[in-house]
Amino acid sequence: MASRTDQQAEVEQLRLAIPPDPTYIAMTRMFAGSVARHYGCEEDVVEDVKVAVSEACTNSVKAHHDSGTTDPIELRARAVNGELIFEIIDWGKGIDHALQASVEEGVATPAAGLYEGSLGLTLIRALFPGAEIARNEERGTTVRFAVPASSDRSEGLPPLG
Amino acid sequence: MFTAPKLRERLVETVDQGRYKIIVNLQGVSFMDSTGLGTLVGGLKRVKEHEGTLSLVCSSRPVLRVLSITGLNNVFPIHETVEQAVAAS
Repeated sequence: MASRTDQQAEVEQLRLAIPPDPTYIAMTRMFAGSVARHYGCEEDVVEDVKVAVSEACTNSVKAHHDSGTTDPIELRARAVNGELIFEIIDWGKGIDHALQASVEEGVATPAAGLYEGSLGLTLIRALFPGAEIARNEERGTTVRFAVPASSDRSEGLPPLG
Repeated sequence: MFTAPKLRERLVETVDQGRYKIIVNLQGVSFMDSTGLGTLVGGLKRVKEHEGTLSLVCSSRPVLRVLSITGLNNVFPIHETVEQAVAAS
């Protein structure tokens, strides 16, 4: 098989940008679920992707609200080496280091403490233990996680229909 | 995130009316995220202050998975039907 160029990879990255408004979060779920199904993910994985994307976007909307930015929040998906990688990128103030550490250490569990808030990142990490949650260099936060894609579809975007 | 405030408002209202044995019917709910979970946890805290209970009626696989992965399936009594929940409460 011919090697793929960077240009091709860029073309096949799917993107959705939403205003920082909670009414658009359902749209990110639909987008992510459709992309995951399109790449042949199992239905249970599709549901997990929808939850993780929803959690990340909910946090991003709050982050934009808190920092007063109206820039769009971006959801990206691309297939690489048998995996479908999702990224949620915001331009808020950036994740708090202490919260990031507690999530990575698995300290915050809802059942243990009956927390009412801040469950989103914990849930993402519970669904996808390899999920990366990091401050962007400039500003904002990026959440990234990968799911296995169907082997016959992970080499590129299959045609619609 | 979008519908959770309505649930929170209803739970607060119910507790304020002196009803401390609450059954939340999630049969029409196909998706739940941490905002919804947090709202249910908030409701549970409020009824527990009055030695009450909050149980769930749910058979949606995605919702049950979220409850399970967070360990909240061990915190809330979960039933398949409203009738079963009423009988147990």
